[in-house]
Amino acid sequence: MYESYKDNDKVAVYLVYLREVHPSEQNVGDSPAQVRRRRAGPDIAQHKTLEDRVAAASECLEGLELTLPTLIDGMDNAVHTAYGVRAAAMAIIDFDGKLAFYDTKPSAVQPAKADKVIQKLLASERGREGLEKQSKPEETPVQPEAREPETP
Amino acid sequence: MRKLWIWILAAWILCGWSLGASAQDPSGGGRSDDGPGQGGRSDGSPGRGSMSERLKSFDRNGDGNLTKDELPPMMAERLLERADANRDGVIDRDELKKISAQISGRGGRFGPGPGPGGSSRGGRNSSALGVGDPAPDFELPVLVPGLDAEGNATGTITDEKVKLSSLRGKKVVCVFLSSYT
Repeated sequence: MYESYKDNDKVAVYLVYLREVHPSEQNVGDSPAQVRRRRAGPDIAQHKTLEDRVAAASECLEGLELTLPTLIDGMDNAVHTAYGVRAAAMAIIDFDGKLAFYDTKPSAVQPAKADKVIQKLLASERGREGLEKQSKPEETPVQPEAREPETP
Repeated sequence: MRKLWIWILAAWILCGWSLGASAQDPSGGGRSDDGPGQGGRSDGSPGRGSMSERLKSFDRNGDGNLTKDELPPMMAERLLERADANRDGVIDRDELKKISAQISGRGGRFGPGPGPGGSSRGGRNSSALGVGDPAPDFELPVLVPGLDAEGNATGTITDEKVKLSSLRGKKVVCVFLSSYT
């Protein structure tokens, strides 16, 4: 999906890499399903430093063969908190900086759905630009006033 | 005698029904708080006392800080991850105040943002986002992927950062937020 927009100057696609949802540490009280999920997935401990997070993000990109630009959430997990992420989230921000789509379900990351939303936003922006051009009066070039030659 | 039994049975049924209703999780299967005093109200708000008081009740040695040992196991990791801003393994008074306010703002639910589905507008908590809300701004470093000498994935970050608000008016931005696990 990123590949289809990487040369589009009206669209930016990012992965924001967050803290690990299912780190490899064994936690007392976790359900058998949580332990099974952790064992089935990549073995990554919860990040203690930014370097850990960068390394994990690199491993993610390589493991999933992703090429999209990746940003790293700070160790204060500010973006994770601000966007109310549980396991994963997808947010599409329109030209006005507002959320056009927002989903925090574990299955939120759906490129096909994102594509549809983006196409709608681009179409409505094209429509808006078209209307603006129509409503602007045509500008006529200003002719300089002809000056009479000065008589001695 | 028969009438008496009918009344007793009716009262027993009513008691059982009202207990079941109050125990029902209103968020439809969301995780429940593991704190003491499980008698939370059916609307998800904390039961007796404020959230701050409930959390302080775990402070066994009374030093005003909460450590992993003092917290219930299932709560400890989540609370430390969300509240321990300086990552020293201890939730101090300021961090406790902050997390209590966040949890209270979400009606006592101990979890990030709105419930499953994520797109509903929650109470007064600013992190309960919905479609149409301004997207929370961020300025984050860009990962530069690479490989080390042994061919293992390695990456670095540079001074280059992406600020979401700088793209306003110029681009539609699609953000996937996730981790590898």
